[in-house]
Amino acid sequence: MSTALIRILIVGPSTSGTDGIVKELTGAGWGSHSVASVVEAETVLKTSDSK
Amino acid sequence: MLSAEKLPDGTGYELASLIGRQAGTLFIGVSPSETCLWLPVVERGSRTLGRRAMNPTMLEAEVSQLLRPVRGTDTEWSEAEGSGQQRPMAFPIDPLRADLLAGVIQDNSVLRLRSRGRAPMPPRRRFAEGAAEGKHHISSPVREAKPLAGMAGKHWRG
Repeated sequence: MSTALIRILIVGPSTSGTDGIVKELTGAGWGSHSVASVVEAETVLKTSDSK
Repeated sequence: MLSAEKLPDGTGYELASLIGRQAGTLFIGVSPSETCLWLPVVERGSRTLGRRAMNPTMLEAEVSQLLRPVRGTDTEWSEAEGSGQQRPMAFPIDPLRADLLAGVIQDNSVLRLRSRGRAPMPPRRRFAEGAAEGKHHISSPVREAKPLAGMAGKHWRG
């Protein structure tokens, strides 16, 4: 299980721009999570909010 | 949160209110041409859409800074700065970055004009001055204008 703290949520298709940033931040120890749609993003946000 | 502008079931902007309530930060990527610009829509819970835009390099620096541990007091930062650590940037309107955005837009338009061999448009202030002068002329009595009789014939070379 990853111990990286997930603080970056990426919504939509991955692009070279987001890939580069995520790679940098992951290397620095930050975790990220990707979703494809508004509904999925809302679900993730509400879940993290209730924790 | 980094979001594309257009998503299969809506737009990234729809997430702004939820992010705002959670005091989070939302950047939306737009592609006006072959490059990509990132618009801060919400920054730490505050709506900031329209204030500035960032290129991918600036975004990376911005996100890195956002993820740094939050410091509470100036005293802490004075100590941190003493050890060579840089104070995180606040989020007021940043004129330098706003200029950069304006510069990108103007560069595009100027390049197009130059390629057609046209002069760039004069600053808006000159339009205002011209308009003021024009108003003055309109308010002048019409009878002060010189008669044009015979002028057309002088310049006619047909």
